[in-house]
Amino acid sequence: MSTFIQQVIDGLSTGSIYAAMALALVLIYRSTNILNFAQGEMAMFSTYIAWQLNNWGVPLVLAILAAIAISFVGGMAIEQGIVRHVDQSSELAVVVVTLGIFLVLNALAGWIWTYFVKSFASPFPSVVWRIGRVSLSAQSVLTLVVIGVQMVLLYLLFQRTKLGLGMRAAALSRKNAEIVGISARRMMMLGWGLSASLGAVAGALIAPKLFLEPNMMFAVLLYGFAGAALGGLDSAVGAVVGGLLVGVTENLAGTYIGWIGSDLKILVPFFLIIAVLAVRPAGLFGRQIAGRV
Amino acid sequence: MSTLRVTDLHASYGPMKVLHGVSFNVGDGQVTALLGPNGAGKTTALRAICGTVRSSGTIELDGEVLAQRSATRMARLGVAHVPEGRGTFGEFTVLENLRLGGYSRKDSLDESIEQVFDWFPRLRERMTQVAGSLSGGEQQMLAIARALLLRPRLLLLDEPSQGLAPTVTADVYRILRDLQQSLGTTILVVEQNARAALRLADQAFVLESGRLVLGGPASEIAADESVRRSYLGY
Amino acid sequence: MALEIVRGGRPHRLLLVTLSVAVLLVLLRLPFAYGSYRVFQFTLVMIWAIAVMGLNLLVGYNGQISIGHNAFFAVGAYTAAILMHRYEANLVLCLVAAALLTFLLGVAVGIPALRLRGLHLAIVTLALAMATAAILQRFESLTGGATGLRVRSLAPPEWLHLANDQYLYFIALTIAIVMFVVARALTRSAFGRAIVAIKDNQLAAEAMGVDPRVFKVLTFAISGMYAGVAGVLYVLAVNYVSPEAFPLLMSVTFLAAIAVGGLSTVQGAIIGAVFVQFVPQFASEVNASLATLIYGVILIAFMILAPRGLAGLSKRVSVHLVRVIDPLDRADRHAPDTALTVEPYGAGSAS
Repeated sequence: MSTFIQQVIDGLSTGSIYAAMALALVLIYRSTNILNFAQGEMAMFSTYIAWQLNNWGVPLVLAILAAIAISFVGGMAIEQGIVRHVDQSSELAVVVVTLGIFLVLNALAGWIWTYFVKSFASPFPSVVWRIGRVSLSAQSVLTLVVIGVQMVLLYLLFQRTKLGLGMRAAALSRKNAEIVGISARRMMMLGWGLSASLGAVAGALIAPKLFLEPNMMFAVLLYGFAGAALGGLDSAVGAVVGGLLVGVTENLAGTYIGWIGSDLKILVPFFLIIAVLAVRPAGLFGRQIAGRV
Repeated sequence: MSTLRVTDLHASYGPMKVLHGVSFNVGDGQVTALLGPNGAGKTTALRAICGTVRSSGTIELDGEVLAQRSATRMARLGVAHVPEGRGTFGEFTVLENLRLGGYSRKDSLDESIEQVFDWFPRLRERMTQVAGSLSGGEQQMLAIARALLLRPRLLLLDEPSQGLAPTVTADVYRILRDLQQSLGTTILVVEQNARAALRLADQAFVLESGRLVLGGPASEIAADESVRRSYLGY
Repeated sequence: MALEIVRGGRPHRLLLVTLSVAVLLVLLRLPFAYGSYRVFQFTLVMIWAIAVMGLNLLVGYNGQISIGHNAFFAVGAYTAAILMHRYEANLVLCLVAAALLTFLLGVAVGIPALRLRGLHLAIVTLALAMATAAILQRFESLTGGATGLRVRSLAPPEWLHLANDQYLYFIALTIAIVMFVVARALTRSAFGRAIVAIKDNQLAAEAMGVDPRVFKVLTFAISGMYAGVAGVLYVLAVNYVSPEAFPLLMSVTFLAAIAVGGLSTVQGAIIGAVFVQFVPQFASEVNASLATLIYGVILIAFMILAPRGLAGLSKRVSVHLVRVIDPLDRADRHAPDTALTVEPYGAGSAS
C-alpha cells in the first residue's frame, strides 16, 4: 500500500511539471486563442538564460527572477515581431508559425549552449521528509506550492480583474472587443508575455529534475498539452488538475501495467485524453459551448 | 451632445464599390435614421464611420475631422457602436458584458451599472446569467445597455430590430426613445424596419444601391406614401 | 469574403492545358537530365506530394487537423517492408495491403476523432505522432525493432533500359498522377462539396442532409491511405526502415508543406513537397550547424508573407495573366452595382 502511495506521490511530482507547462499553455490559449507549440522551447530557452546568468555569478534565485522578466519581454517581442504579422484567421498558418519558432529556438539553444547536458540547481533545499515508509522531497512539495500559487493568480487575473476580462474578450471575439475600446493587439502581446514568464517558471522548476538540454521540453510539452486538454483548455484549475492527473496515471500505469514499460508510457496521456474527452468533450473543467449555426 | 457630419463617403469591399459618395448630417441630440432596402449600403456606411471598412470621404465629429478611424479609437472618443448581431459576448455573464462596455473608462463603473439596471430591470434580474441564454430581445437590451456604459456622446445602432418579433421591436424602440429623451444622446440608427425607426427618428435618410436618394424630417418621409412604397417597403 | 470568380473562358483553359503539358514533358525528361542523387530527391518530392495531398483533404477541405500522419506513413512503409522482407511480395501487393491497412487505421482514428474539437484533435494526433516510434520499437518481432528492416530496390524489367532510381521515379510519378487526379475529382465532386460544407458549418451541413460522421471518418481514412501509399514508395526509395525514420518532425513537415503550398488546393501539395524537400537542404548548405534554424526562419517568413500558401498566390497571378492576355475578359468584369446583395443577413461578416 505504501508503494502505491509512493507511486502516487512520485506521480504528483512529475505531474506538477506537466501542470506547470499546462498553465502556460492555457494562459496563452485563453488570451490569444492560439495553441502555442513553441511554449516548451520558449521555456527551455528561458531556463538557459537563467543558467547563463547563474553561470556568470548571479545568485540562482535572482537569475531565475531575471529570466522571468526577460522572458516577459521576449514573449511580447515574439508576438510583436512574428505572430502578429501572420493572418490569424488561417489556423494552420498560426500553428506552423509556432512550429517554426519551435525549430528556431531549439536550434539556437543548441548552437549557443551546445547539446551537452548541463545541470541546473534547484532553488529549493534538497530536504527529504519521511512519513512512515513514504518519502516526500521538499522540492516536489514546494514545486506544487509554486504551481498552486500561479494557478490562483491566473484564476484571479481572468475572473476578477478588468485586464483579465479584456484578455478573454479579445481572444473570444476581436471585433466585439475592439468595439468597446479594447486593443486586441495589446491583449495578445500581454498574453504572450505573461505565458512566456509562466514558461520560465516552469522551466526553472523542471530543469533540476530533467537536466538542462535543448530537447528537455519535448515530452513535457506533449504532457502539458495533454493536461491542459484534459482540464479543458480554458481553465487554469483544469490545467493543474489535468497535469497532475497525467503524471499520476502515467506513473501508475508504468509501474503496475507490465507491458507498458518505460518506452510506451507516452501512450498513457493519449488514451487518457481520449477517455476523458469521450465522456466530457469540453474537458474536466472546460465550459461547454453550444454550437451556433 | 454631439454632431456628426459625413461628407462624400465612398466605400468598397475589395473590388466591389458599395457606397458612391454619400453625405448626411446627424444633429446634436437628435435621432437620425438611415433607411433603405437590403444591400443599400446602410451597414457599410456605419462601418465606414467606425473605420472597419475601407472608405474615403470626410467624417467630422463635433467639427473635428476624424482621419484615422478604428473601432478602438471610436470607443475611446465616446462613440458607442451596437453592431449587427449585437456584439455581446455569449459566454460572459450579463454583468461581465456590462463591465466590458465601460472598459475604456478610467472611473468606477458601479454607478453607471446601477443606472443601467434601473432602465433595464430585466437585466438586473439576469445579472449573473450567461448572455447567450438570454432571449433575442433581452440580448438587444443588453447590447444597448452595454453601449450606454460608455456614457457615449454618439450612439450608433445597426439594425436593432433584426431577428426580433414586432412587439419586442416596439419595446426596444420605446426604450431608445426614453433614453434619448432623458440623456439627450445623439443617435444614428440604421434600419431595414423603416416603420419602427421613423417613429423614433427626428430625421431620416434613404439609401439605395449605395446612393442617397432622399432625406428630410422623419414625419414627412413617414407621411409620403410613394416614398414608403418605393424605398421602404410598406 | 469569398467571391468565386467562375472561369470557363477559353483563353484560360488553353493556358492551363498548355502549362500542364509543358510541366508533364519536363517531368518525363527529368530523370534523364540529372544524376541519381537528384533523381532520388525528385522521387522523394513526389512521395511527399502524395502524402501531403491526402493530408490536405483532411486539413484543408475538411478542417480536421492532424499532427499524427507520420503514423500512417510509417504503417504504410512498414507494411511494405515486412511484406517484401519476409515474403518477397511484389509492389502491387504491397501497395494494396498498405492502402487497405492505412485506410482501416484511418477509420479507427477517425471515429474517436469525431468527438474531439479541433484543438483537442490536434493534441491527440500529436500524441499519436510521438507514440509511433515507441510502438514500432516495441513490436520487435514484427518490425525488427531498433535495427529496422532492409529492403531491396525494385529492379526494372530489361526492356525498359532504365536504372533502378529512374524506374522508381516513373513508378512514383505514375502513382502520384493517378492519386492527384483522384484527389482532384474528389474535391470537385459532391463528396468534396460535402466535406467543405462540414468544415464551414457542420450544423448547417447536417441540416441539409449530410451526415458529417460518415464524411469525416471517410476523409480521415482516405488521407491516411494516401500517406500509407506514400510510405510504401518511401521504403523503396530509401531501402530501409527504422522507428527513428518517422519522427514527429515528419508530421510537422507535412503540415508545413500544406501551409506553404496552399491549403485547399491539390496543386499546393506539389509546391509544398518541393519546399520541404529542398529548403532544409538549402539551409544546411548555407550553414550546416544552423540548418534547422534557417529552415525555421524561412518557414516563419512564408507564413507571414503567404499565410494561405503559394498556390493561392499563383492562382491570383494566373487570373491577372489571363486578364492581360484577353481584353474581352477584362470587359467581363462589370461594375457590381446591379443586384448583388452585399448586406449579409444575420451576423454580418462581409468585410
